[in-house]
Amino acid sequence: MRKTLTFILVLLNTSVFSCGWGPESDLYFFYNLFEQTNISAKAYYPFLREDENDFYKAHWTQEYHEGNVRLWQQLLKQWTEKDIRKTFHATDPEFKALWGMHKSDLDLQVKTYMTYARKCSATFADRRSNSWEYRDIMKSGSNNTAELIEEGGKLYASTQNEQLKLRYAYQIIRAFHYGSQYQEAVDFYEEHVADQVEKSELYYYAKDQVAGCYYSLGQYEKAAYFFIDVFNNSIDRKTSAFLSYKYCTWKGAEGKSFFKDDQDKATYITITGVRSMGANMETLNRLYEVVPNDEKVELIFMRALNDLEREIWPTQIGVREMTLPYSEEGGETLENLLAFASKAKQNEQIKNQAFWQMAASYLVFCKGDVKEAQNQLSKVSSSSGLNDQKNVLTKVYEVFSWDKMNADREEYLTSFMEKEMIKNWGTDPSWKYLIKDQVSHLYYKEGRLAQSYLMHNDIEDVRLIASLPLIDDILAFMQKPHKNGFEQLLMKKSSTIEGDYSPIEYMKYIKGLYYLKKANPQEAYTWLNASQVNEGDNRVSYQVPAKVFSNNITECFDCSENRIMEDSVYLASPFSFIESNFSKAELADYLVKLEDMAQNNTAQWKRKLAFYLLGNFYYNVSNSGYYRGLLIGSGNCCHYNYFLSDYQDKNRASEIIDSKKGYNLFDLDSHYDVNMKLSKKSYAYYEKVIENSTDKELNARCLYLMAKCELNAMYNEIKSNWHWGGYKGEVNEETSPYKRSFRRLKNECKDTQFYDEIIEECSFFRYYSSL
Amino acid sequence: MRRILLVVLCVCLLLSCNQPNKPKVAFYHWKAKAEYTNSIKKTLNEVNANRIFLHYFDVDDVAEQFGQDDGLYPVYVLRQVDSAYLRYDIIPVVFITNEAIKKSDVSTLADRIHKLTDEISNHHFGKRLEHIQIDCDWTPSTRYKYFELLTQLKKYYRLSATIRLHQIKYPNKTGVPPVDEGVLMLYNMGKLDDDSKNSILESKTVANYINSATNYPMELQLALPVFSQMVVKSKANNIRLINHVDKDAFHSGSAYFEQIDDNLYEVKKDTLFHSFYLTPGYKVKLEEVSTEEILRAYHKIKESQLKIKGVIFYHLDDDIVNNMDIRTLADQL
Repeated sequence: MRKTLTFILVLLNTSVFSCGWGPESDLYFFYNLFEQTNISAKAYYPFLREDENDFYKAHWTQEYHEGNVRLWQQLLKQWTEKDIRKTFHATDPEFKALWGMHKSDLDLQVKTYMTYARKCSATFADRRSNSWEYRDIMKSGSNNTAELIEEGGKLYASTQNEQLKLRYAYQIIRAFHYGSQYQEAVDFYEEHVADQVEKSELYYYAKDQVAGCYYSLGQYEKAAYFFIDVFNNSIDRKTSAFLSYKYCTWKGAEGKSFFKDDQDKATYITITGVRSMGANMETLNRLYEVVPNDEKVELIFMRALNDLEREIWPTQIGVREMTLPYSEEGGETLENLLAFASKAKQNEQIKNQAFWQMAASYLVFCKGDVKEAQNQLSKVSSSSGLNDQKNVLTKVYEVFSWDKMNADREEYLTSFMEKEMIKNWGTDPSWKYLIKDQVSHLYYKEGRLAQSYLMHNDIEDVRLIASLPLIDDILAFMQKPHKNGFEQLLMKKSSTIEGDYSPIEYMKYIKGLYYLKKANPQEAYTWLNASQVNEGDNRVSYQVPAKVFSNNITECFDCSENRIMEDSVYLASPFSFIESNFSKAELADYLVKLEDMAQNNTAQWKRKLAFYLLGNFYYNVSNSGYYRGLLIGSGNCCHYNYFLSDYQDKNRASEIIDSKKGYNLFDLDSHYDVNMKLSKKSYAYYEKVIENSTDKELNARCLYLMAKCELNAMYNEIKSNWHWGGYKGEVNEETSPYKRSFRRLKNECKDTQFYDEIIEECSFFRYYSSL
Repeated sequence: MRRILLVVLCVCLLLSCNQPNKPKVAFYHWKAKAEYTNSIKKTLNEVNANRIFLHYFDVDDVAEQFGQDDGLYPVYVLRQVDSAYLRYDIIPVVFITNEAIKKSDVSTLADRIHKLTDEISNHHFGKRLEHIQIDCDWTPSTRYKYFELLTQLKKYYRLSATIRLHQIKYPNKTGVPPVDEGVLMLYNMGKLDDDSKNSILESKTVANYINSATNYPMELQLALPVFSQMVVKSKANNIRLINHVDKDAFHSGSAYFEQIDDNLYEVKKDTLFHSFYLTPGYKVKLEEVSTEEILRAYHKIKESQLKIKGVIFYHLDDDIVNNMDIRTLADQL
């Protein structure tokens, strides 16, 4: 029953991620610079601040043995700690083997005890589950507590050694408890344990059991008080007492009527403080009034400090308008904690001064005064046992004291950052990834885009970003000779490019693609042709099909191009230079030729058709065209990849870089450039076709294709969820400006065959023409 | 002719005087391990007992209700049965607490009892047993649910149910269970914490419930106690029971017990006693029932209009059969 209740309790009190994904670690969301385990009492570690587990780095079923081990060590001076720990969960052969080396009288007595204790544990383990299945009932074993109690009683009576006697008493009480003989357990405890023995760890083990018995007897107030005492004094049973105390409070009991001293009060404050949400300062101040020098004060302070870190050290801020530390949050808490730490470090009665000194330094740093933080940190004694923390803060303070990066500082970083440089991001250790964030920010501030970008991004993701300053800076960085150690670490991010191309060749190609996206085929050709990547072994340089110059009136992204891209004008004789498949450098060349033909050819029909092919191309590679992934090395799926939803940041990568927005380029790739406005280019070309054409059918078709361009512009410009398939063709004040071509098609082309065809094919136009 | 008839009449009377109607004798068995010792075998043979009412399990409210889990589970489940019992007519017995009845969904509980009972029967006897007994000291507040449970179980079994004296006396208030047969429990009729009385059986207590006119609308078996027990009462008046009386512990020179009344002792030094922990101030009441007292109670019942078709001794246990002359008792019924 206790285990079931514990399970219910924990389920109600821990965070539950109910919608699929959840982060593996609390450190996904914030940078933890001040290690919580700096508190002096290891026994309180389970109550440090953490959301990801029931207790700090532990499940609620975690067993703790420290106190028990220490007590055994007092008795078994010849034993190693390792051997003592082995006895706890040894299999029968392992248990037997342990006694080969230990044969003294005392050892034999201990062996007798441990044999008995193992029997007890096996019996109690069997009784854990209730079932209506006979198979399970038979497996679970019978209630042998009566026999155990008999045996335990005899052993207890015959043992002289005080510690062993107490251990037998504990097992007997435990057997009474599990055998539902609650009053017997209480009576036995009162007679043989309560005021009779030294208050060692096993004393509190026994008391923990008796507390459970009081609970089962309905004496919740007494039970609560006992659990408070166990929580305060036991090393191993703090977590179970903490959980059990909760059951008591559900029954309206807190144990207060039995409180004797400040420790009881302080323990109560601590437990309720740990359980409460966001009442840290209040708990801290109350505790300080009662027990200023107690380890529990450090625990509550640490929880409060960790909560503060969650507000002021957010991870992944990237291009958001935020800073590190994020001082807009947590201001009042920061001041309060700093005042508290300062008060504690000035109070000579408080031990562990190094802890408070360090904490005060850290809080001053969080306020933004790096110099003063460094000054205070230097006063933390190196014999304090907090050297690891001091080293971490020393490095963090140093980096945050910089206003820009230089070679010396880069070298400083290589002395302790290597694998963190190669990974884009991680959580362990948290402080190194904070340093990465800060360094990336410094680079960004100075306009050193390449370094800022490469701190957190992979080289091949730059294909998604249409920013010439970024591309040029990365290319220049790649081409820089004699890179220092830090720069070489950055280069490792570019060491594996599909097709095994060098980063320089890759970036030249990317620059060529940039110009294609910008409808500048001349420049594009220069860069694409100069790059080895044009051979075609990278996703960005796969062969291009000639149908990129065709067009479609049936919309179907996952249908084959042969079915959809039906228009065959591109096959006409003037365009015989277009191969059936070609490289992107050749593509750029074709575009140049088509431009030339369109502008300069003497035959009007050739000019109009050249415009037509150009119109087709630029629509097809726009973000609603069939070949929308062509210029970024992707496929054409799906709408959500090519159009922004309402919650997505409307500032895209190239604008972000141009306006120098954000803290660094951490998440630049997720702000990939979506709309190169190529549909507008396409629209202009189709208009040119009509200007140069008397072919009514062709013109009708062009008007329809222009309508597609307008729809593309509408999807890009109007804030809506239409990209999820929500637009049904409505014509209203908002959408009317994008229906000019439909208007013309309706008014001017009713007598064409194309009109009859398109009104069957396109529901949007069918609806429009019915208005 | 008249003379022949007279002779026949006398012979019949003689026969009936020498061979009174002896009730059929059966036993309850109430332990998790059904052993078949020589003592048990001898006792069963001596009294010609072929039927054993074998306790299968209790149903109790043992866990906190959570979601679909109503917290009702079987406890004290039968685990082992000597193969010798295959020769006997076995009637499974299931005890249900009132707390369990109150909390239960009757259909669900009936299904569970039915399924587990059959599983145990198949496991130990290789077959389903058609007749089972339900033991429950129902109250007016649990009556309807309990009777509904019995109705549902009747779909699967021939059913008998235990009945207490107060249910015989007040059938309108307590209802008559819808079963094929009843068992009148003539033990555990007193208060455990009453130091002056034997809580197992006192014939004068029976007389408070049964008189010569007492009747009941079904045939009954009569359950009679052949056991003894020690009632342990703590300083806080909590009661625990120890099966059988350990007379050796209560001799006059005992370091642990001081006699304060006929069957009542007070603990004077703490000790672990039959897996109970006793401290000074605890009291132990020894409760044994004599053959005479059992017979007095039995005859009280026989004087009534109740239709008693047999006797079930509670219960079959080596300690009991070795300390109680069951044969003599059975002979005198």
